[in-house]
Amino acid sequence: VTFEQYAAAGLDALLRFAVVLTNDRGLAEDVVQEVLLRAERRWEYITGLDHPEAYLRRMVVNEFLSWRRKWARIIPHPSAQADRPADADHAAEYAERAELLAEVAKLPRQQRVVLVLRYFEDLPDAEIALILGCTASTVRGYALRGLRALRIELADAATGRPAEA
Amino acid sequence: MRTENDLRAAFAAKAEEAPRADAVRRAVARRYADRRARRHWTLSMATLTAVVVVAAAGCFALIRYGGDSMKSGSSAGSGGGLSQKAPAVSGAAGAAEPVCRPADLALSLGWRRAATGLVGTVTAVNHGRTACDLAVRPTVRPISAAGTVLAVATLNPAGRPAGARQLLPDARASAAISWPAWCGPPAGHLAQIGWNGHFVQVRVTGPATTPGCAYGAPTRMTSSWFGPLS
Repeated sequence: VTFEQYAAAGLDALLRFAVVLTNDRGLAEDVVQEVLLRAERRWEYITGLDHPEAYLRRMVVNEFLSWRRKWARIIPHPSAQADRPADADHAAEYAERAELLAEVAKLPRQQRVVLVLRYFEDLPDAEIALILGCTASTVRGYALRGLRALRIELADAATGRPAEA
Repeated sequence: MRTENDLRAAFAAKAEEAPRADAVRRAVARRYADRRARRHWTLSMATLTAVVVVAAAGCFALIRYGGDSMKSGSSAGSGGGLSQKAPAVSGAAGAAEPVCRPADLALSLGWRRAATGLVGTVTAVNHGRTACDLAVRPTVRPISAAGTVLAVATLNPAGRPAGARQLLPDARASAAISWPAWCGPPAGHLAQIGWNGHFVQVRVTGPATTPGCAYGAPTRMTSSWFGPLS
């Protein structure tokens, strides 16, 4: 798969992941651009991996985690934008989602990453631990604290996911 | 109380807001092109700077070396043939140093009276076929009329003069020496002159005597570096 082929086929998924992670469309675009610029230079190495898409996702996570620290020294706006709640949807069925996403955006970055990887990408905790460079129990700790902050009931019979922490 | 499914649904809804991949692709391509252009410009500027620096250094070295060559050339012509070259340039001449034997170098000493005691000149003439290293201050040991070497100290600070000093064949060089006072036995017409650890006995021209004994005046000699014969 050449870089151009990936950019044509796999970029959508990366952008969807980034926008959920950052909760900001513009920031997601910036993060993905940075990742692609770096990935292009190491494309030969990335395509040699078993799961290049997982590597790119990890790059997005790392870029997001370092984003505020990096850009806070240059321009203050992205940080503020990232924390800005999504525009409220006046439709009743979306109001609760907008509120929930706004609360997710206020979580510490590590907790936010864990929740997105777990509930949007449906990754197991062991794989999330690999991406974050920590242990699975640490991932469970992040998830537990994040879910408590969001007032989410842990044992969800519909998904079957047990309360792990 | 919210459930995990609420979170999934919220994330899924948020994903629908993702920017269009086409726009991102175009932006990445544009930034990549910009970066390449910037890198190309930086490389060009770095190359240009390096060329300018090397050229300037070359010109500087050429001017300096040329100036030194002219200086040493004029010194050989009018200053008795004492070549004062930069150390790096004098490597070849330095290698010939052992070939210059003490016998090749003719040393002589002449005194004259001055208000500050005796002032002398040590003259060196190279009769050999190779250059002799004269980056030294000469040492003089006066000899009494009874043939005893007088214990006169010569102030010879450590170190070397700036640049190498090579006395070319048939060239002459001199060093000034002063002897302010002496309270010991009088000197005769002979003296020993030291050069690179070798002492040769020479006949002294001028007043064959010693400076007076002045209380508090230094009794040691002070010599200068060898320089072109003036």
